[in-house]
Amino acid sequence: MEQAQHHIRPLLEGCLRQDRACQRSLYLEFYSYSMSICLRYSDNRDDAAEILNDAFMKIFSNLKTFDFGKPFKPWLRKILVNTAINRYHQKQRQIQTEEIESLYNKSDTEKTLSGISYQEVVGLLQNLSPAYRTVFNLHVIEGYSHEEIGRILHISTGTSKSNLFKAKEQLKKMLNDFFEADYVRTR
Amino acid sequence: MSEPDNDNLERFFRKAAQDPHVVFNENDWRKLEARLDAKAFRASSNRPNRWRSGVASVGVILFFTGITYFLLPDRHKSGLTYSTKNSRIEAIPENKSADMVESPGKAAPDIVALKSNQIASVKKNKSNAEIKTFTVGNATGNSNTGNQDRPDQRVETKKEAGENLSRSTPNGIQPQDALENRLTELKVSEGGTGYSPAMALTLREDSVDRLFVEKDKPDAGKSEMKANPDSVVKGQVTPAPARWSIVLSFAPDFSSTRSNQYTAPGTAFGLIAHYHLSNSFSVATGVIKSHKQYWSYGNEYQPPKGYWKRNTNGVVPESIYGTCNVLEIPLAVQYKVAKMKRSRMFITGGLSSYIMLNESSYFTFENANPGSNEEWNSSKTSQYLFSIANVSAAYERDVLPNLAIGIEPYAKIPLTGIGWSGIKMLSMGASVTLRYSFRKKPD
Repeated sequence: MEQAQHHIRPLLEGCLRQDRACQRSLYLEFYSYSMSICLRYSDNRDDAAEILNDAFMKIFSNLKTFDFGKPFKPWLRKILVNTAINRYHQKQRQIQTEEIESLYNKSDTEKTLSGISYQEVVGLLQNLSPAYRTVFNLHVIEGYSHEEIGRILHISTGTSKSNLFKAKEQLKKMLNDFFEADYVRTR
Repeated sequence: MSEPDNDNLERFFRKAAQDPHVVFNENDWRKLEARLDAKAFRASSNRPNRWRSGVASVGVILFFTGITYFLLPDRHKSGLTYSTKNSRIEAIPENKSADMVESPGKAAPDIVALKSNQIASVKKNKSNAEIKTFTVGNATGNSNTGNQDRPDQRVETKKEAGENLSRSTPNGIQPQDALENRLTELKVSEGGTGYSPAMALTLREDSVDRLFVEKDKPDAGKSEMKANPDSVVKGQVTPAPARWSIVLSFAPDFSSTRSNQYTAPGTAFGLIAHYHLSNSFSVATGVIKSHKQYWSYGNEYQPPKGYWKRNTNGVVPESIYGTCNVLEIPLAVQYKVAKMKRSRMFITGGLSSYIMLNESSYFTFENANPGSNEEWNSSKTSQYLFSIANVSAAYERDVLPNLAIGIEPYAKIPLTGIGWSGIKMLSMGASVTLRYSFRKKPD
């Protein structure tokens, strides 16, 4: 970890000077990692790229507040997740509740896969409604409690639990479409 | 769903999320780079303090330097009044009596003898060649820019004027300083007493070359010499000013929706025509093409209803950086508040109509606003009749007989909102002006 931090320190210092080459290098360095997070919170790749770029704009703007004595990756992850949640809030203002019902019908994914890749997993997540997906990501992947999720998303703990339950139900159904019914159980 | 199912599902997704590999897409970086460039541009534009302090400092320095230079007495003329090889015009201070400047007889041949060929247009309606009417140029070499000096500055005299004038010689007195200040007040009193209380004047022979002889008046029996102090420059006969003048102007233009928030200045080029109603008043109109740059809060914008909802996810930008090109058509009245020897000061007030040629706005949001439009552009023209009030003050200085340069600080105060966003844009600046005054053709 320290070695990695040592490796990116010159990049971060270059970014502080608004050095475009350093900014690009940092972006490249963490592109895959960051994009993987953004993809899980977004409806599609374009949305994920916008979240990613919003997050990096914040990073480049606020890098002076970063404590260089601490690891960069958690800070980056936190910004990415917060940016994704901001976007979720903005979407919530736009999207009406009927979208929740309609989204599940879109999950007509490929069924001929013999395995499943990260992209396909992300594809499954992206078929969830934003509310279910965000709760699932925050709880399952990021490890937030329902109380924390409730505070972050401005929903009650019960709603968080309910959304998580429904997310899992839908994911299970989708996975069953990909694999045999007992595939998940036997892993 | 059973608990083991839940655990398996969570483990499955956690594991899937652990080692992702997402292929880099160059387009994503390009989009980010474009945003970084735009931000850098806005940052460089939004440095009001540096710009304002810099421009203000330069303006203040130039202003006081100009005032000092222009208003202090002309050093190169302080010792001796206007003088050429064979001619002199000398003035006696006001407190000197005519007797004190009475010249010896020797001076007589040198002094005014209005040669017949030099006053060809002087009508002699009596055998004694009575001098009719003259317009006397400004012996100080001043130019006339047309709007300031009318042929109302006259000196009336009879034929004795020449004699009276000829009687005055310096005689050891140093009247030169007074000449420039007094010449415009020159009144050679009628009746041959010869001297005004203000001064005595000596016109040497070639000074007469500068006399501009006006056409005859109906009251030809009474001689009248009109002294237009600005009409003669270094031996040239300069006609009286016409009523028209044109002004070319350039200004750095600071625009904003609030008086304390300015970006880098835009520019304003203008061509204004003045019609002089009197010695003091003129009306002006013309066209000024301005490129305006401004900064405002998002809530000061009044775009078409529903615009924010449709284009920025309903989020009103925190700030907006805008640019626009406008044609301004002013209609103003200018009043001359002060006149110095070669310079003058004006105040101007009026209304302007704007023709918006094109405009662009760049939005900045407080938080990330993905999917939002970040800018808005339009080339649609729109007109706003008398939507801006203009006030300005100007200082102007002659540089050539027909040409004057000046500086004109101005403020343009919005009366209505303009443009797509309906913003009320305040503009301030200081124009550098170049005025050309037309002259009447000599008869």
